[in-house]
Amino acid sequence: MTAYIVRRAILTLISIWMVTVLIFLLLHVIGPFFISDRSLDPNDWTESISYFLVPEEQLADPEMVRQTLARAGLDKPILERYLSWAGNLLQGDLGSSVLSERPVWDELKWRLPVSVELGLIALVLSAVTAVPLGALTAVKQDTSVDYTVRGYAIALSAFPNFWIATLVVEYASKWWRWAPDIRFEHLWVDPVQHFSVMWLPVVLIALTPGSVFVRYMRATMLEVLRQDYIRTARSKGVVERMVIIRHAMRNAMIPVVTLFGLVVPILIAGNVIFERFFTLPGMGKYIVDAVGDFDIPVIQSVVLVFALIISITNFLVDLSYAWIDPRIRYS
Amino acid sequence: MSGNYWSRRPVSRRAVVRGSALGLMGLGGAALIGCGGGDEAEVAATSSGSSAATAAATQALVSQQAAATETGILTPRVDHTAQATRGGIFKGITQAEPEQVDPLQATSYKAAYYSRWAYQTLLEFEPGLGDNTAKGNVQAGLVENWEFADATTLILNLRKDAKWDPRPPTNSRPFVAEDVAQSWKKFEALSNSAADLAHSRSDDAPIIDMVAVDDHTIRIDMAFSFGDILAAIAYQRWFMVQPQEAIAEKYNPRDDIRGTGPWMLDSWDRSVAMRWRANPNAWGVNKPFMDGFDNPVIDEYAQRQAQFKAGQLWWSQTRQEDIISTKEDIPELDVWQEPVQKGNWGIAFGLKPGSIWRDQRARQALSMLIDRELINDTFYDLTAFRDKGWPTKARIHGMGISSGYNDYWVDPAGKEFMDYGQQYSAAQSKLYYRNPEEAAKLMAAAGMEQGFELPMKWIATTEYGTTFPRVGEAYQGFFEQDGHFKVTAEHPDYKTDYLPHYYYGSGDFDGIIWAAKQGGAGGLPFVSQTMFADLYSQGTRQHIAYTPGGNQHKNEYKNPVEVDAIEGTSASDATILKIRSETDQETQLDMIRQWQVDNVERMPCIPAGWPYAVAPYALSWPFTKNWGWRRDHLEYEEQQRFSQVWIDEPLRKKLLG
Repeated sequence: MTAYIVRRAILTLISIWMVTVLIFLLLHVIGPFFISDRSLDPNDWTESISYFLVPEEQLADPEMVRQTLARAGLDKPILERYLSWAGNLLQGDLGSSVLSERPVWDELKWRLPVSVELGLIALVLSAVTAVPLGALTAVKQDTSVDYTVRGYAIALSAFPNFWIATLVVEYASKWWRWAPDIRFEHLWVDPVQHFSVMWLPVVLIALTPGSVFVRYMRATMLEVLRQDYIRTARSKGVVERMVIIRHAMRNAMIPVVTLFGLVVPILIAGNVIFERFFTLPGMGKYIVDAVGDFDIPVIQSVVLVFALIISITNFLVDLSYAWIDPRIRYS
Repeated sequence: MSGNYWSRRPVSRRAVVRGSALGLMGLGGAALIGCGGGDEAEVAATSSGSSAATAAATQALVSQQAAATETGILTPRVDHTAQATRGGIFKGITQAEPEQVDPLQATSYKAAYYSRWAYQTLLEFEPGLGDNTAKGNVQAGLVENWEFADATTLILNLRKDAKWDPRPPTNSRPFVAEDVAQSWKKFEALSNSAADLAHSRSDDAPIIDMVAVDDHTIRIDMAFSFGDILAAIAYQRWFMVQPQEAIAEKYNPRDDIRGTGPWMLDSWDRSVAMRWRANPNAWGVNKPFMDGFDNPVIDEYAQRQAQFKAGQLWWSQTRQEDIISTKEDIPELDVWQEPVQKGNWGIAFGLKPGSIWRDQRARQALSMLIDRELINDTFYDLTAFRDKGWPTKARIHGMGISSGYNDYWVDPAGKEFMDYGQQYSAAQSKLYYRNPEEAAKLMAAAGMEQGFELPMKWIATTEYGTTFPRVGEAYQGFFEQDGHFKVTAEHPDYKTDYLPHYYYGSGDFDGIIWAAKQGGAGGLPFVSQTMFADLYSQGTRQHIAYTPGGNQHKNEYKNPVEVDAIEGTSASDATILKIRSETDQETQLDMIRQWQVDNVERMPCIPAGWPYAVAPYALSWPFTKNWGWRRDHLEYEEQQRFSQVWIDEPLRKKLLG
């Protein structure tokens, strides 16, 4: 097991390094190639980039353009740019935003917890509700319970959760003059206020993955329930509840856990709309604004952090298989 | 109102525009200022005017607004200062969070807007009060009084009672002339507006230097006589005064503010909220009644509206199409009809050598295919307001001058402000109205056949809001409706194509472009014609915004086509420079109006029908007293008005619990 962990850790580090190269190439070579009308002239790249980085009011001033490009490090040769960025990364320096001039780390250190919390709580909420419901629908296959829960799950999968969020907020304010609390405070500053703000987005975010988990869990449970060992357990006289919980659900969880692993990074990195809608200071809003402005230091650092999260999550999911199914051994 | 505009129009054309107007979006402008004008249910394409007609039109407008106030639709603009009580935190909003808040090296208008809550200009624009709108005159600010030593030297006597923020590092230090002098140096070196004011950055900018004569006196040396110097230093988007501590970076002026104004930036949690508190050192009328503002950052309109309806926000820029329904949901809300806003976008021409658009007749023909009134009615949903008995007010923008600029604007309909000597002739006025037959004749004269191939470009993305592309579709419909043109619609990418090639371009393209500013901010070749109007000034006296060679004048930026691709451009430039140097305001107004009339036939660009041509409505909670009393001249001066607002706490408790 230890050897496996070491091997996976090394692979993860290599993956991260490859991500840095890929991000860099995308932002500094391929991106400018496309935004400069496919011109390969470096002068055109920097000019095109300047339309992203330099405020419109300053575009006419060559000195302003030069200063801004220099702040983004775009006045250096490309290899020097990469080595400089990678070297700074190794020292924990993620660089600074070209536009706000604020260090990226200063932003990340209080935005990352918000996104992680939002994503993880939503995941846990969806899992603790969806997994039992999925199992229940499988056990009660083709009954009214099955049809009702599946109906809701399909509907929730069909309707985007941000649309549901808009309706909830819109009609609550119209009918009851109620609106969600948006006065965000960090957990460590004011926990009560924090959860007063966070509960609604968490619930709404959990709807979509929850609906997927229900259907996935139902499908895998149905398959497991038809296995020989379940029949054997029942023939041995094991109580039905124990058959379901200990034998069926636990085995049905393995593909579902894989799904959790896939959903985690989406939940953490993909809640842009919710963060905007509920005015939560997370990573999503930060990266979207940065992409819109082609703020290269921010984009490359945030994408790198996302890559880290995805790598670590996958690593943990792999390890969890062994815990769920003792037959699995990493040797 | 028999025979009104709607009853006279064929359904088919309405359908053309309606089809493009799904999901109407109101203006996002922040104008909550003066008011004037009135309904334009019927517009006659005539230019003849008389004092009797003016009086009748004015009386009709006043009557209509008065009736709306009496029936409770509009809230009366009343001064509640005598009953004011102090205290309370206003629940406001940060709609467009700035990247930073240093106005002297700012990169966008947002920094200027928010820093203006605390930093101040040397002079200020005089507000209107109640039903009297602001006229654009300047009044004392950090400068108590002023005098011209000669035509190019202005002496400013500074306030002696102004102090900086009580917090470190300014520690209530008195405001002195050295603050102004050092701020000027920083502005001159770093500001993206420096080329509009600083002579060292542009030959056509007036100010050579601001010199501290003593602690309370500043001398402004100018390179030439500049008629609008007072307005220029009152304009908040340009020069604001920072303390010497900011210039020495004893605090970080990008993240924090230490000003002399009514509010202090208490805390700024990025993406969460900006919190402002009353500055105990604020002077005079700037001393706020309220303790402060808590302004969360809310990007999403639906969330803003929900918060507003729930009473968690006390004002919100409600879109025009949502005004009636919001008022019906919350009948207690105050309703204000705001003035027509100061903006004017248009259609620009590609002017490559040999372009058909170098022919004035071709440009005029295109203008005469647009039904501007229909655009107004449709995209502002005026019928819905009229059906409910709300007074509506719509105008047609003039050449280069937004219809929001009362006094400066000459009404193509010949109805408003007709007491001026400058009016359009009938031949000039008709260029603003749809007339397909006449357009066909002009096209033929220019050598264009029916069904002329017309590449037409506009951005289809939402940088200018969701309505902008639909208005482009409406124009396309007008041009194609009677077979005049066969339009090929093209949608350039905003940043990589539209900005460099059109917005900052030089007319070096084929066809036409529907642009977000009248001609675009600099690149389009006729920009020098229109720039001085209202592109960036957005509320300041429009003629000061145009500085040939200045920040706003960027047509030299990339490969300009020849200056006189549209005949008469050089002459018009020369006139503008004369207007700028005129110091007598009445004479200057006459010259501006005359410029407008003189240039309409040249049609260097086509003033469009949308946006800003309609007086929008605004809503607020009624316990925010004095909300509608002070009428700021500039769209971005609410922060000044806020010091006069107070909270009627018993009423708030009654309404919100």
